[in-house]
Amino acid sequence: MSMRESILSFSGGRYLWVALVLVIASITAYAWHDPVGVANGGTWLGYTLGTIGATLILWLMAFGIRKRRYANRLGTMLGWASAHVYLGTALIVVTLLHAGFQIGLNIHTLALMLMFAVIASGLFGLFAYLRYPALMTRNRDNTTRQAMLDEITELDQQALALADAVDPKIHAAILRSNERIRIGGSAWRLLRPREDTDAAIDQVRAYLEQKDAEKRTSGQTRDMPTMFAMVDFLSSRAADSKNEALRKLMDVLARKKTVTTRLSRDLQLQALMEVWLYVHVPLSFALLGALIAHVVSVFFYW
Amino acid sequence: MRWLIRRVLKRANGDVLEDDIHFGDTLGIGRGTDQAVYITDLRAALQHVRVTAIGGGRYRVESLIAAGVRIDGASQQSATVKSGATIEIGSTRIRLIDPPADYEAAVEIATIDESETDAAKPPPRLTLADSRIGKRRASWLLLLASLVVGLGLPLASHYAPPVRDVVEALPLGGRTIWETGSLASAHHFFGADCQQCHVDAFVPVRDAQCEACHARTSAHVDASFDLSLAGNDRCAHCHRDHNGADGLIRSDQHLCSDCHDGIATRIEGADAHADVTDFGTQHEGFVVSLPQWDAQGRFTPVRAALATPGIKEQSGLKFPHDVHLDRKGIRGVDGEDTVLECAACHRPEPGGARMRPIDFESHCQSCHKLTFSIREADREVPHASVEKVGYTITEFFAREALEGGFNETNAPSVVRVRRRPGQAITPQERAEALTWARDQARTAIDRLFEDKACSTCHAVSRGAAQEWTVAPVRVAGAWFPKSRFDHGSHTTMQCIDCHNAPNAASSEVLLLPDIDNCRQCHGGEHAKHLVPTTCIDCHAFHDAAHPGR
Repeated sequence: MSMRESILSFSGGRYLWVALVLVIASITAYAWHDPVGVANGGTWLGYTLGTIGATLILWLMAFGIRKRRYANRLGTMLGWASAHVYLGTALIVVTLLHAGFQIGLNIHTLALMLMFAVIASGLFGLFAYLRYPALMTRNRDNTTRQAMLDEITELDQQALALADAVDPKIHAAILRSNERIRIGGSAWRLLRPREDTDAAIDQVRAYLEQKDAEKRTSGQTRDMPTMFAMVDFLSSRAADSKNEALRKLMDVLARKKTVTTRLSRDLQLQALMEVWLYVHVPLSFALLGALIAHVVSVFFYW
Repeated sequence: MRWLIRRVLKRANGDVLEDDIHFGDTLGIGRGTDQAVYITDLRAALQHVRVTAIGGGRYRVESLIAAGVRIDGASQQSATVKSGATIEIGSTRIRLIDPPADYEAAVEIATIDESETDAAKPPPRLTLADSRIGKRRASWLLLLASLVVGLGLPLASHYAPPVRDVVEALPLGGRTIWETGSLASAHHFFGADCQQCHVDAFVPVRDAQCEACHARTSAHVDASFDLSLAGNDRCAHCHRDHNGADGLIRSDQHLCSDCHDGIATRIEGADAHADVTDFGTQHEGFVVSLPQWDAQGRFTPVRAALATPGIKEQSGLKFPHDVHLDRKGIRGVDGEDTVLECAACHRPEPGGARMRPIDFESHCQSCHKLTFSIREADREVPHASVEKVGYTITEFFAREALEGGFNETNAPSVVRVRRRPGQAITPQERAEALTWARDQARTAIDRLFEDKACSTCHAVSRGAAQEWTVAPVRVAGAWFPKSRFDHGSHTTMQCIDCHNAPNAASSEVLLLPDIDNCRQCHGGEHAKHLVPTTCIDCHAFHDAAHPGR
C-alpha cells in the first residue's frame, strides 16, 4: 500500500466520511436556521460552529504534539494524519458558515485568513507527500545521497589531476570551481539550486578559444569557429597527451555536472517536501494567537 | 630578507623540525618547483600564494589564482595578517610565525590530519533543517505578534486611557481591529469610544447605555408589565449594531414573532389577537376602535373585532352613503342632479396617509343649508353648538322686532310699525317686541332642530327643560390606532375595492375592510406571489400612545 492510499484512504476513508458528515450537517443547519438579522457568529448556530471550529483548530494543532510521542497508543499515526487532513479541510466550510461569510479589516477576518493560509500550506504539504517521494526515487536512480557526495569528491580530485596535465590556468580554474561549488546551503539555495561546474567548463572553453586565437594570430589556421577548433583540437592531434588529458577532463566535468545536478535535484525535492511545514507551523501559531484574540475580544466587548 | 622556513614532520616518536632559509622579498607558495614553499598537493596551483613581510610582525598574503586561499579558515583573495595566522592549501597548513633572531620573517609548515580536516570543515547544509530558517522561533514570534496586536494593544487601550491615543494612532493598533462590522451611521459620531456602550468587560451591553441617549424612546408595553416574561427584552436583542450602515433597524417578522408566537398560552391574560407570527397565515382579524362616549360625554372608544356579528359603526351621524353616491346623481341646491364621487368629500391629508376630517361647511353645507327664515332665505345659522345656534336665531328675531316694519298680522303693533332710525320706543313697547321675538325664535329653533336641518344628520333630543341636545359625532378618525395604514401607498386601488360605500344604506354599516381584504395582495414575509409584508410595515414596536396592555 502506497503512502498516497494510506493517508487518504485510511480505514476506508473513515475521516473523509467524518469530515463530510460535519460539512453537510453544518451546511444543513446553516440553511435551516433563521438568524436574527444577518447570519453571523453571534447566533446560536454561530456559537456552535465557532466552538466546533476552535476545538478542531486546537485538536489539529495537537497533531504536532502527537507526532512527537512515539509511545502514544491513542490511534495510529496514520489515522491521526488522515483525520488531520480531512478535518482540517472541513474547517474551511465550518468557519465560513460560522462567520456567515462576513469579512472585514479586523482580527476576526485575520484569524480566518490565517486559517486559510495554514490549510493551503497543508494542502501543498499533502501534495508534496503524495508526489515528491516518487520523484526522489526516480531522480536518485538507485544510488544514495552519500554515494553522490563521495562521487563528487572523487571527481574533483580526478579533475585536478587531469587539469594539471593540461595547463596551470586550467588547473587554477578547476581549483576555483572546486572551491566555489556549493552543495546545499541556504533554504533559498536548496529550493533554487544553481550549478558552478559550468564555470569550469567555461574556463576550459576560454582556454581553447585563447589557443585558437594564438593560432590565428600566428596564421596557422584559417578563421574558424571555436566549436570546430575544439573538435579539431580534440580529434586531429589526439596523440598528444595534453589533449588526451583535456578530453578526459571534459568527461569528468560533464560527469560531475550530471551528478551535482542530480544531487541538487535530490536536495531540492526534499526541501520542497519540507518547506511547507516552515509556513504551516509558524502560521498555525499566528492563527492560535489570532484565534485567542478573536474569542476573547468578542466576549470582552459582548 | 631572510625567511625561515620550518617544516614540521610527523614521526612516530614525535615531531621533527626541519629548518630552511629563503632569501627574497616575498615567499612563493605553490606546486611549482620554483616556489620557496613547494607543495605536492594537487589542490595547490603552481604559483598559488605570495606572502610579503611588511614589518612589525605583519604579513601580506595574496592569492595568485582566482580560487583564492584559505587564510585563518576563510577563503580569501588577499589579507594582511599578523604572525600567528595560518594559510591552508589542500592538506598543508602554513603558519606565519614570529621570526627568530637573525630572520626577518618565518613560516612553519605542517600537514593537516585527515581527521582534523573532516572536523574543521563545516558539514554541508543539505536539508532545510540544516539551514538557518527554523520553525520554532518563527512560531513563537508569530504567536506573540498576533497576541500583542490582537489582544495586548486593544486591552491596553481599554484599561489605560493615557496610552490609548498612542496605541490607536498605530496602524492596526487598538480596538478598531476588534470591530466585527461597521457601526450604524447614527452611532458613528461616538463610535471610536467603545466604552460608551461596552462599559464592563465580558458583560453584554446594558439597556442603560442605550437609554443614556434614547431616554424618550417609548416602551413597547406598560411599565407595569415585565416584558422579559415574553422573551428577551434587551435593546440589543433586536438592535444589533456593527452590522453595517443600516443593520440596526430590523424589519423581519421574526423581530416580533419570537415573542408573539404562542403568547396567549405562555402569558396569562394575554390577548389572543397578540398571538401573531405571520400576516398571511397567523394573524387574527382586525380590531377596530369604535367611537363611544361615556355619561359625561367624554370620548371613550371601544375595541371590537371587525368580525363581531352585528357590529355597527357608532359615529353618531346619520349618513346614507348609497343615497349620496347614487349613479343617477343627487339633486343639488340649484335643482341640478350631481353625481358625487368619494373624492367630493374624502380628500387626503398632506402626506397622503390619512383622509382629512369631514367638514360640514366645505362638504355638506352647499346642499344642506342651515336656513331658518323664509324672508331672509340666505341667512344660515352657524354649524356650531346648540347655544350658538340659539343666540343667532334669537338675535335675528330681536333685531327684526325692534326695527319694526314686520308685516305680519299676528305680530304686535310695535313690531309691525315702521320706525325711522333713531326713533325711540317705550320700555313697554320694547318688552312687547322682545317677547314676540323670543316666541318666533323658539319656534324657528324647534323647527330647525326637529324637522328641518339638524335631525337630518344628527340625533337630537330634548332635555327635561325642553333644551335641545345633539348627540356627539366622530365622523372620521383613527379606526386602527395600533397600526399604520397609508392611503397614499394604495393609490393604484379604487376606494370601493376596500370600502363598499355605494351599497351602504346607513351610516351604521362599518365600511372598514377586514384582514381578508388585505390578504388579497399582502402575505407574510415569506409569501409567494403576494407582497411580502412584515409586522413593522403596519405596526410600531416603540408605540407609547398605544401600549400593548
